[in-house]
Amino acid sequence: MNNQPPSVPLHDTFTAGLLAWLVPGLGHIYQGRTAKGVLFFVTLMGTFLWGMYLGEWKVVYWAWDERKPVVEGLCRLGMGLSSLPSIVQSFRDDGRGLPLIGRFQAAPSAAELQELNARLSRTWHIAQIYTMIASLLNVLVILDAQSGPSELAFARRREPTEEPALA
Amino acid sequence: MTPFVWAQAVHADLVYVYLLPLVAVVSVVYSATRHEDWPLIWGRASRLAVMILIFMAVMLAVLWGIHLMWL
Repeated sequence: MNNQPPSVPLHDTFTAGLLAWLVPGLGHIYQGRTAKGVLFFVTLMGTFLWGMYLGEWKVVYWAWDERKPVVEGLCRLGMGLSSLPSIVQSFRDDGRGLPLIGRFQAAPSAAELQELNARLSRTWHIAQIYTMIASLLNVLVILDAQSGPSELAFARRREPTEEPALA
Repeated sequence: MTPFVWAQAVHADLVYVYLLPLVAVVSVVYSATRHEDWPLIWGRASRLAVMILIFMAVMLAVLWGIHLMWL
């Protein structure tokens, strides 16, 4: 029985990592690991969107004032394009929103946040956790796109070098 | 138990339902980033999901015990 882990075509690792950050699974699809790419896309986007739905599509936002969600915001950076509108919206918080996406992922007002917290209660926090965990898991996916599955990366590290040591 | 209290208790229990999809996603994604072989991915993901659920059940029991004894 062959116990060797299968080889993985990583292609250009920077491009794969960047694509994986932008859209979960896209880096794997670029590498030809389509099934894994689809798995990551469905699971992570599903979790992120379900979290957004539970938070009435207002749970993902960024603001530079006292509404700033520091921990959640930093975690959500791992999700790439899915959370980028919140950053862009934070620079243009004039109440009108952006072309095409309108007020999507714009920061709610302090009063609206208070109302959402009070009304949704635990569901608001569950929504935050869903979006944060999906984003943090995408960091693992980016690493997988860049250096392959960790069993393979560790196996490569254990292999003795074939090049003769320099005198 | 009045219907209102009963409804509140049922809602409190339903919150744990949200845990199950999260455990499934964490297990599958973590295993898929560790392995490339599909049977191995599913096998490790199932094992990890069971381990997470057992760990959380034990923690729940410990916290519940502390709550009953000291709080």
